[in-house]
Amino acid sequence: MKQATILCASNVTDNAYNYICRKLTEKFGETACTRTTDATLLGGFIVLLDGKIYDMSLRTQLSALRGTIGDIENKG
Amino acid sequence: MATELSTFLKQKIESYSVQPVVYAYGTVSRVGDGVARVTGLPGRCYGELLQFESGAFGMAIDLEEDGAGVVMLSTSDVVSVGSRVRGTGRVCDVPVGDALIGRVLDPIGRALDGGEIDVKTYYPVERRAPDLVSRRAVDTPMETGIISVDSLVPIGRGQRELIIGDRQTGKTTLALDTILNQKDKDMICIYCAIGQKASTVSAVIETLRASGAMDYSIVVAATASDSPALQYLSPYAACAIGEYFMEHGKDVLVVYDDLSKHAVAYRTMSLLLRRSPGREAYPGDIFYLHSRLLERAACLSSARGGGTLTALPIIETKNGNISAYIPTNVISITDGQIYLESELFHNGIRPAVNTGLSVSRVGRAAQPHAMRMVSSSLRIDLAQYREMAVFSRFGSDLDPATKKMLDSGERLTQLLTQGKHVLYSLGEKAALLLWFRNGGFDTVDPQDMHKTADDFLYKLHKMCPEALAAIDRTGECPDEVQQQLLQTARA
Repeated sequence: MKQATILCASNVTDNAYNYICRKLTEKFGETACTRTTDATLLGGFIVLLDGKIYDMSLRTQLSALRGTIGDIENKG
Repeated sequence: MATELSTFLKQKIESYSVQPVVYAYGTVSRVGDGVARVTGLPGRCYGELLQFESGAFGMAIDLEEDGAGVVMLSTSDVVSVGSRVRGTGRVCDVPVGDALIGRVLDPIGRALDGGEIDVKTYYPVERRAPDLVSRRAVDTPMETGIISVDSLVPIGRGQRELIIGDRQTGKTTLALDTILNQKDKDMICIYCAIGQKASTVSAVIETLRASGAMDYSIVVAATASDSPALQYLSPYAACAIGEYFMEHGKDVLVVYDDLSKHAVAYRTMSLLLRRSPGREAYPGDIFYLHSRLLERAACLSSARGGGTLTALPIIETKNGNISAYIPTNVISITDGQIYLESELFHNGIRPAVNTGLSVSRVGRAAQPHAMRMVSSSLRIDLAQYREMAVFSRFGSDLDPATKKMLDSGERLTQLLTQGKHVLYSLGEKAALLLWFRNGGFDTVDPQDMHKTADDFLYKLHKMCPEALAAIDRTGECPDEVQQQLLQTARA
């Protein structure tokens, strides 16, 4: 059985948490999940599984968006 | 304009699709003393930059099946055991470009003199040395302005000439003088400080600023308070910056001050990473550490732009022992060495160049004809003088011929001494040595040599400046110019 850690920006509802666990099991096989909170994510969540990070946090998305706008600025 | 920009940004934001970012991660299992051990994180490459959860960066330099040994590029206080690490997919790099000229930066390109560094090009700090077909033989002089060096151990552009000596023998001063002498000579100079005291580096920068040398110089500094990893990276970063200019057809001089401290920083890192210690506790690849750096000094062929990168590495010896491990390694890598001796230094002979142990293996081919002509017998004259001086200590009665030789040798020794940051042009050096060869200083008391030489040069500058300028311009000293100089001096 695989071990996954789900990091959320704030406490998620059980429904949301169970939904994420179910999706992980569907994709990667039987998975045991644990959850923690990390306010620095700002929003969204991160899954740590099998030595990989699946990052859907708002912090990373904003950072990527900033990079896109920065590229435009540099090219302009 | 503002509306257009706003619309453009809105479109970009609307068309931005949210995708999960997936990357491998590892976990810090041990951290301390500037190194960390990371487990997991497969597929890393040597020298890859890793980012810790706290935002700190490290460099993977020890790759193992189940993890990596990482040296921290910033303080290790911000990294804790159990925190996550991710690979960045890029090796350590440094900004390069014209905007760096006049700036002071650290080995990873952060400005140390305030402000931002506005460049868009980055070079990896570790790069392959130019291959065989890209190189040509060293054929252009790189003058130091120091009469003893330019006459006896000439340096060519693209050469690697080691400056070696005990502490407080004038190694940095000699390197700095060389930088100062490059003013208006279309040479970009890089001073790389490794493990030096911040106050020392600050004094060097001040000297460069005061002399206007920062207009064509860059300082890369990792001081003694920086992590061993930064000290280790420092010369490679300086070299990468130099390579950018070299590949754009320019001539570059890089001073590595000093590689002894660099070797010590690497030894620290290696021991902390638990690599097997070898001789003097240095790791097995200590030779390769310096050979791969100094091989990057080159004289590129015209097909590659014809740029050059001259390296002046500095090594500090202990009690004059040049046969210690690191000194012998670097001596064997470089194209010659300038050996500065404590005894000479304390006897007031400065620069304290030991002409017997100093050698330039390729620079003679690049020496200007004017200097070659007047300095051909200097080495033998000095060797004979030293030998005779040793024997003369045993007896007080000397025959006139021996006494004459000793006096001449003493005058020559005095002629080759030079004040700090007092630099001679090619014409001045050639004229002084020409006058010496023709017996012009024979009646001068050795203690008055400096004053007499200054008066002699003043006279030449006043009465035949065109002859000196011609030597500077052409590097030649034909018969008619020689006669003109001698006649003026005799007048």
